Amino acid sequence: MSLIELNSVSKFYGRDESKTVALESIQMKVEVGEFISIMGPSGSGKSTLLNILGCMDVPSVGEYSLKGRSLKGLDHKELSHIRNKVISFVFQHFALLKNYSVYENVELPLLNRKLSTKEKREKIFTQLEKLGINKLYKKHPTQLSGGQQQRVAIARALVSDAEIILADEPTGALDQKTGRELLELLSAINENERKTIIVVTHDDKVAQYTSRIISINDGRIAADVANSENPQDVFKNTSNL
Amino acid sequence: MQALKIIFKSMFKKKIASLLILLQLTISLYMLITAVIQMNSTNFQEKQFEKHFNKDMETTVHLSIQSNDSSERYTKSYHDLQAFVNNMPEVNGIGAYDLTNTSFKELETNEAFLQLRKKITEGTFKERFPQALEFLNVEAGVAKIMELKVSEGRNFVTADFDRSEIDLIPLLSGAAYKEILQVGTILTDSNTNQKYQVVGFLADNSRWFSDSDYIRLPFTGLDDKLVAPFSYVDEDALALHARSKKLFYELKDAKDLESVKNAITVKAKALNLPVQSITVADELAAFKKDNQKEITFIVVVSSVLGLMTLFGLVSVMLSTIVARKREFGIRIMVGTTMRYIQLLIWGEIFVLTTLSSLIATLILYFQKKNDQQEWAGVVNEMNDVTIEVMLSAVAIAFVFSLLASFIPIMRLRKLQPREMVGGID
Repeated sequence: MSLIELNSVSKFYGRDESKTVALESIQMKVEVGEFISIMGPSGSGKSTLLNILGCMDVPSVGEYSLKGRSLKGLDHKELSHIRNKVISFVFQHFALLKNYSVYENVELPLLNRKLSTKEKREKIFTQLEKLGINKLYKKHPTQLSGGQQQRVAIARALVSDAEIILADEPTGALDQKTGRELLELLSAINENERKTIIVVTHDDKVAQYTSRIISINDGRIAADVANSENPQDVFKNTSNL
Repeated sequence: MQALKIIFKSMFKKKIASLLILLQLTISLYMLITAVIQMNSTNFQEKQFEKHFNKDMETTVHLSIQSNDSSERYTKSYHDLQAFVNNMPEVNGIGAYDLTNTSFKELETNEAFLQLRKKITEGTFKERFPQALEFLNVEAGVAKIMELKVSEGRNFVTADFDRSEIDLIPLLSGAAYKEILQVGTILTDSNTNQKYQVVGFLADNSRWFSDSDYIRLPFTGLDDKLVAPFSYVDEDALALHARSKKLFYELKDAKDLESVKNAITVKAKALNLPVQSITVADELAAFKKDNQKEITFIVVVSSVLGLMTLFGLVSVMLSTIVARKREFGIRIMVGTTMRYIQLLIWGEIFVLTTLSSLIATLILYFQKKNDQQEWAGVVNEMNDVTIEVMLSAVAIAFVFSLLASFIPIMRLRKLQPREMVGGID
C-alpha cells in the first residue's frame, strides 16, 4: 500500500467552451519517506497537483487515495482533519500570520487538538529548538529574516507530526545560502524523521536535492525519474537558486 | 476561548471601525429595547387592571373637575356636585382618594417601626424621613369601588365615613405593619392630633390606583401604607382640589352612561365646575392608543437606524473577509474547518451586537434606576429593565447577528481554500 496514490486524476476549471484542463490523467504513487520534487514551467499544473495532494482542492475526475483510503466524497470536515493530522505545508512566501508571534504561528495546527497548554508549549518549543529559532518565539514575522520565517513555517509543519510535508517553491523567496540551508534542513528532516516531502519547484538545482523528480507539462506527467545526483554538487558554481 | 481570542484580535485590529459600529448598534438597540419596554408598560397596565381592579371598567367612571377656583364657593360646589351624583338612582356611589404623608406620635420613637420603615424606604428619598407614613384617604364611594380585602379585623362600613358620629377615625393598615400595630391600636396624627384606630389589616399585595396618574402609572402598593376616611381638616378648597382629579363614580348599568354624564355636565355647569366624565375602560383604551403611536414611532425610527447599521456591519464584515482571506486560508491549510471560520465571522458580529445590546441595556437600567430614586419606585415598576426585556435584548442581538452575517458568510463560502492562501497560485 502506497502512502499516496493518484489514479487517473484530472482537474478542470470552467465549463464547456471555457473549460481549462489543469491536470489530465495523472497516475502517481508516493511511498513513505520519499523526497520528491515536482517540476514544470509556470502553468504546467504543478501547483494544482500540490493542492489536490494537500486536500486543498479535489479532483474533477479520478481517485486520490491516502494511506490506502480513497478520499472521494469526503466532506470539508474530514478533509480538514487530514490537513491537520497527515499533511502540512511550506510555502514560498511562508504563509505566516503577521499579527501573531512566532509561538502563535507554530501553535496554529495545535489549536484544533485537545491538548493542554503545557503539552502544546512542549511540542512547540521542541520544534523551535530543533530549528534554532526558540529565542525568537515572541517575535512577529515582520521582525524576522526570510530564512527565519521559513524556519517558522517548517516548525509549524513539523509541530503537527504530519507524515507528509508539501512545499511549494520553498526557496523561492530566499537567497542562495539560506535556500541551500533550507534544502539541507528538509533533507535532514526527510532522512532523520522519515517524513515524506514533496517539493514543487521550477528550479533544477532544488530538484537535485530530492531522490525522485516528477516533471509535469501541460497537466500531464512528462517524466518520473529517480535522482542519484549528489545535491552538494548542484550548488557548486551557481549564483542563484 | 480560542475563538473569542481570535474574534477580539480581529476587532482590535480594526478598532475604529469596530467602535463606530458598536456606537451605531448601541443607539439602534437602545431604541429597540426602549420600544420593548414601552410595549411591556402597556401590557403591564392592562395586567394590573385585570389583577387588582375588581369592578367593571365600563361602569366605573372617572369624573375630573378642572377648576382653579380655591374659594369657599368651590368647596360648596364640589360637595353639591358630589351629593347630586350620589343621589342619582343610576349611580352606586361617588368618591375620591388622595395619598398624603403623616406621622403618628405613638410611632415616632418606636424603634421596630423606624427600622421597618428604613428597610421599606431604602434607596428612595423617603429614607431620610422613616417616621413619615403614606396615608391613603378615601371617601365612601371610592372605598366601595376599591373593594379592599382584609386579612385580619374588619373592613370599612358605611358608618365609618359619617364623621359626625365618630371621634376615632377607623384605619386599615397595610400588611407590612402587622408586627408593629394591632387591631384596636390608637394612633394620633402628629400634626392635627386627630386620633385613628386600627380596625383591620389589608390583605397582602393590596393595590390601588396611582395618586398621580392612575392610567399611566402603576398601581400603588398598599402593603406599606395606611388607608382611612378623610378627616375634617381635609375639607378646605386646596384639599378638595387635590382629590378633584381622583374622583370616581360607579354606574349600576353601563347603558346609563350617556344620560348620567349629561346630567352631571348640566349640574356642574350650573355650579360653575368644568367637568369631564370618562369610563376607566375608555381611558385605558386611549392610553393604549397613545402608547401604540409612540411604540410605532420608536419601532420605525429604530428599524431604519437598525437597517442602516446592518448595512454598515455587513460592509465592514465583507471587507474583513477580504482583508483576512489569507489568514483564513492559512487556518484552513493547517486543518481549521470552513465551519469554524464561518463561526469566527458570525462570532465577531455576535460579540459586537451582544456588547451593544449589553451597553444599551445597562444605559437603560441606570436611567430607570435614576428614575426610581426620583420617583421613589413609582415609575420603575412599570418601565423596569426586567428579565423579559434583557431576554428580548439578547434575542434582538441574536437575530441581528444572523441577518448581518448572512451575506459575509455566503461570500466566504464562495472562496476556495486554494485561492485563499497567498502562497498557492
